[in-house]
Amino acid sequence: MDYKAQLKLQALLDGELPEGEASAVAQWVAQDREAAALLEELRNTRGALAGFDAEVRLPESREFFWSKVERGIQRLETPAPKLARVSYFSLVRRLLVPASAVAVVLIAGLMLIPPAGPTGHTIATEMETALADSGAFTYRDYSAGATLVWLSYPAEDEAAEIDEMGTFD
Amino acid sequence: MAAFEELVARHRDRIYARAYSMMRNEEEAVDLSQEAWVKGWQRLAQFHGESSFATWMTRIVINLCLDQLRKHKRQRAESIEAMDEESGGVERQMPVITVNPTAGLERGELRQRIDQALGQLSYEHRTSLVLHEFEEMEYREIAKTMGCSIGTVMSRLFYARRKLAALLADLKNRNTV
Amino acid sequence: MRAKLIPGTGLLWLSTALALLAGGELRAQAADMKFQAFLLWGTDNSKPPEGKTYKPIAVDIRQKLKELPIKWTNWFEVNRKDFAVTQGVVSEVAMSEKCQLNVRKLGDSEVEVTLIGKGKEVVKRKQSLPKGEMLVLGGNAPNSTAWLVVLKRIE
Repeated sequence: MDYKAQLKLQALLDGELPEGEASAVAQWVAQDREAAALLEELRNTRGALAGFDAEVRLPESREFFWSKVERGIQRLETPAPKLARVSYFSLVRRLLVPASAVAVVLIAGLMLIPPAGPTGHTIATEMETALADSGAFTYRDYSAGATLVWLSYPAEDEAAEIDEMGTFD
Repeated sequence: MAAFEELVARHRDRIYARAYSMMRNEEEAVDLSQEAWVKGWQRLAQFHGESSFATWMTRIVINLCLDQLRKHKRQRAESIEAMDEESGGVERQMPVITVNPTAGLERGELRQRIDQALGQLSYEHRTSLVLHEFEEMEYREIAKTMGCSIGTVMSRLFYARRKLAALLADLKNRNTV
Repeated sequence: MRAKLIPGTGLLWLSTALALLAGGELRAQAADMKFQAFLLWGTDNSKPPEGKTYKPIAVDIRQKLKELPIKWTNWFEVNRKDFAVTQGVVSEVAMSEKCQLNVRKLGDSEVEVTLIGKGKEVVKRKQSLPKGEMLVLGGNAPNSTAWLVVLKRIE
């Protein structure tokens, strides 16, 4: 049986042959055992696949999956906020240029305000001391009201130490 | 949005099942399902009811899966076997499987075997099979979806079916011994 | 003619106002700060590791995390603690067996937060943390995952 004939058998099974041709192939199958056997094999395979994925279930809860879809939709609809990384250098530079005199007066004035409260702080201070980590960076998103401090500790290749630390135990 | 959430809840398994049958990887299938739903939301205005909503969404996830599979293919080195599958020939000489390899199997066991066998097909062959058998697409529609000729669809489908029959028969023989 | 200085009643009102202001500030400083602290695990996987019963994180936390430049797709809640911080007392909050968060109230909105891992100080940070805002401390974990300790002020 040549390849073209084999494909015709498949097309017969799939209802893809024009009516006239389908009758002719059906007649041939009735008289040819090899063709009949191949058609039967193709039919069995189709039968095996019937309804195969009807029982497949998405392996996440409704709420959890939806929360991810919702987040994806919101990302589409909300333009990403301008991410302003705090750079103290640029902040100081902005104060000094071009109204440097005003800046000096402003800073001087701030220095003259007497401290209030037991701790002596009137101006919000941000100070970070990385004790075990010199590779940390800070990111502040004012619109989201969140500050991120990303530590290079523990390093990725310290997997064993992480397990010992039992961070998630 | 609540109405859309209801649609997601109703059809999420079907969309995931389609993605999984094509990708054969749970995580990728979940991600692509998720992406499909987001795209579905984006294109909701374009859904005019020519097909059922589920069918429309399934087409979206199928296209996403195909894009992803093409990316995988570009990254994967071609094996000799894969090249042979593409050019065709093996399936023409395979002996006909005369005994139904799925006869007498419990539903669960059959599913497992088919799952295993599908995983051994190349993505082009598996996709042709999935689109025809599960999505009931005609040759012409499969050709358009996969960006190939009808002749190629027929060849791939034929190869996939014959290979699947042989794999199922092999699994049956191994389990019987 | 003798110049009239600040009239007596005016002085009384001023003193009362100042006293109220001072008292208000003291009361504010004395009031406890209330926090929620979360230990989170970040991953691109859709599920927690086998055998772990981590929960999906709260929607408001997820919303804020997505605005931050951290790349993981999914976050799971490993542990959560609600606690209050009183002026002058360091609250020590165990987030896990070996991970502890120490929080000290410095002023109205100011806090000093120390993260301790395996008994060692990992980072200490002083900042303003008004109601509704979060401080997120994080780092990499094995297999391309991440850990986060999120401190959210709720009162």
